[in-house]
Amino acid sequence: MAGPAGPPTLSASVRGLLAALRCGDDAMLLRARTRHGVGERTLRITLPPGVAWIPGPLLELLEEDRWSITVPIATAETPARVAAVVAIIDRPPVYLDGRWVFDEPGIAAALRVLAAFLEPSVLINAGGAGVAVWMLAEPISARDVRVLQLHRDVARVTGATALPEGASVEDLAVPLPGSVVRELGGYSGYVDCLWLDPAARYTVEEIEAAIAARKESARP
Amino acid sequence: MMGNRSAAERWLRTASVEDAQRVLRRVQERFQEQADELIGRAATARPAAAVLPFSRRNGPRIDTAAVYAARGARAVVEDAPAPPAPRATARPRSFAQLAREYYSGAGSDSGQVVIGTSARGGAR
Repeated sequence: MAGPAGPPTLSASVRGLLAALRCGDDAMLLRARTRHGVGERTLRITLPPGVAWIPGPLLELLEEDRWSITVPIATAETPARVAAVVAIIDRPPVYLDGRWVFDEPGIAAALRVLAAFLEPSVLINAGGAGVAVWMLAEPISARDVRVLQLHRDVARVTGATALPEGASVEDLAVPLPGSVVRELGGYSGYVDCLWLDPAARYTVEEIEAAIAARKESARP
Repeated sequence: MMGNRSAAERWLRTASVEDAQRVLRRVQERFQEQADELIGRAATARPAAAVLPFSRRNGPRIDTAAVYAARGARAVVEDAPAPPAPRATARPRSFAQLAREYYSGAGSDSGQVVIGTSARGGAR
């Protein structure tokens, strides 16, 4: 699939991610926490269609340079529809000899698995925690059991990390590019967006078919 | 010829016009020789900064070559180090290409991330 040329700019990735995860013209809720969890904020923003800049209140938070901001794919406050399927590639860095060492070969292998499975619409790099997002052609209800089921199935066939048992749809969130990475272990960095292709949208059936094909190819 | 200023003044007061003109020509020639020597030395010398101005971002060879060629110092250009290889994979056209080229030299010490807006998370 021919996508955009190169990693997107910060503004394009923030706008693209928000546009990918919102459902219709509804306001979106973003969660912001300071790195050590001392401060916590919820930010409600609206995205006027066709505007290419980052909403002002969000930009202020980004400029404060201390907030770890995530975009939940569904919240109790917003109309409960989900516009994306999310997979988490968890490869935390290790502190060795005075510097942070990332499992780059492991991350590269995980990306190749994702590319062979179904090319994501968005790929976020949050300091060793990659988050892949497949945008849905049509949002589905957050109460639909397929939301979590798709998340778990995609995790199983791609080697991604699934949410623990008992988690809800509200726990599925995507780190916002430009915000601060909040991780245990002391690593400090910024979230960035490695890939953004707003044209890549999939139906639930297409994702289910890709999962089935992957299961079939993995069978001995 | 002229040991000091007073001796030179005395000689000028007593010298003929032809002698004075001959001395002046000789002085002018000597100055010209020294000037040529200084200019030639500056043009062919390797400037101390020759190895410094190579930026990794700007293709250095053409601009630097033009500058030094204008100064007549071709030897310096030929001694210049080769420019670093361009980041050929900086703009992937597909996710598959990004996945393929994300990391180069897997399994060796030379491996490095070649795609990414900031190398691994971006320094704070």
